[in-house]
Amino acid sequence: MSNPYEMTISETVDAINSKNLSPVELAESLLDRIDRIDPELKAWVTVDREDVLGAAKQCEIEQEKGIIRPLQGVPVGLKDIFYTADMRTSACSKIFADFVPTYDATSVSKLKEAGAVILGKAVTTEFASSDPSPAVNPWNANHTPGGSSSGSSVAVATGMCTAALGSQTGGSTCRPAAYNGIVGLKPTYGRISRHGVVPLSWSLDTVGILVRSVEDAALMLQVMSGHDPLDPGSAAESVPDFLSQMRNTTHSPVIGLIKDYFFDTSTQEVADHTQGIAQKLAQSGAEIREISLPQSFGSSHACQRVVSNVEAAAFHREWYKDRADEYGPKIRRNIEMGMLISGVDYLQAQRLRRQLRLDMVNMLAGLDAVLMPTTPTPAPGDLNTTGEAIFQAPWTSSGLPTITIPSGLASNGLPLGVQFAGLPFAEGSLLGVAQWCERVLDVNMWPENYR
Amino acid sequence: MPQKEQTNTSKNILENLISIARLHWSRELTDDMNPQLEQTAQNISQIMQDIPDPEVEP
Repeated sequence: MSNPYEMTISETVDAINSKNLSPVELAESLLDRIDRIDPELKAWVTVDREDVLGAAKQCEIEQEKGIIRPLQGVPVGLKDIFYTADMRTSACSKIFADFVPTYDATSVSKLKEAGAVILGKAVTTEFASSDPSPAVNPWNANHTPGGSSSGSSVAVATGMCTAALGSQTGGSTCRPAAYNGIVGLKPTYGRISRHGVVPLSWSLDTVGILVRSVEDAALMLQVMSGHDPLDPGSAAESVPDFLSQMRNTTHSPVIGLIKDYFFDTSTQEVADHTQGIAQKLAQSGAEIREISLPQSFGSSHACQRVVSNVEAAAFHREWYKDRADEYGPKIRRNIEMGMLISGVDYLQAQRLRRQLRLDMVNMLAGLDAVLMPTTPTPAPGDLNTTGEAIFQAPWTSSGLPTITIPSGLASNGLPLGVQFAGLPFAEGSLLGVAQWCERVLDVNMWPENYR
Repeated sequence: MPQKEQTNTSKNILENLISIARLHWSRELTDDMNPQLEQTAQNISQIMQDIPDPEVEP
């Protein structure tokens, strides 16, 4: 058996259900690991050892009774924007510094019902926006770990937890996942409830999943999906068996390769790397078709920024009036810009987003997924930025699901990823394509200093 | 939209944004916001340029 910290969710659940691993021993080993390496990596805001061990003990009692739940004993980290009853949820901000919710976010409740052990709250950029967080990239401390789900990504990448929740309003799940060499899933907008998640932008915010394998992404998605009347953006779409759908994708997929914009905006190394990945997939039987982006893609970034800023301004207006100086410089400017944008321009941006979604769906006709680099460069060597979200924002804006998988190392030793997008609410087949590619590429990376 | 016309639109939007910003904040603070104001003006200009089909609702 691998070291517990190296195990995927499915390996962990198998080991616990076969009584080869005790949930308490697993929790203790990860808590010890956090104690040992987190002072350097700064991925966690709150870890309550007693709570964690209490929840793990409960799982152990159930284990002894033979009770099997899908995430039994799996230690999960939460970005510090997810409400946790009686545990501080600060959004890493001064404004929410003392906020202790009285209830769990719906997604957190569902994880607990599935047997997960909540390990603690992971560092986020302030209010999940773009002021860099203190979290450290485990591959190279001089490079950003990305954001906004920086702590969640670093924690999964270094085995401080088996899985973590993040969120994506621009590029905050798939980008840090790629920078840290792990798998990130942004489901369709509305698939997972945001009730009890501190908002940044209501019409864009999507709960994200950070894990070490595509199968783990499916397992997490399965337990958290479903309609929630408490979230106005929650979709009424039925929840299929994602694992079955993923496993049934045995055929060689038809994949659209988007070169325009995504290759033009990348470094030559990233463009060549992605081309090489496409060739490798083709050699293994995938049909690769070069496709073009619709015209409405051209304004997708503008729409994402305008909508995000206006909605952030609406949410923060009351606090901003009296406490503007307590915001970080980037979130503060975003709020201020949002206050200046007219209602007409906001609505026009929303109309363009609808057009983009229709056009992106048409673009995907006849394809199982589309492929592109996850980021235009590896993690930038500038700690004043969280990197570029430009390869995620159009998908967040159109609400389509995306997944990133690690695909290799750049010449500077930092991870690279490739991103796949699929049709709305077709995560099962998107996961199937991603898993097929994951097997072909066979890339499993781990930062050397934290093995 | 022809390039010159778009540039003019963006410039006009920026001037409007600066005027509104000065109603909210001091001149000094507004001057500090200039890079973000320019970016916002470009975003709005782009949105004005790409008109969706008439039947598309938000």
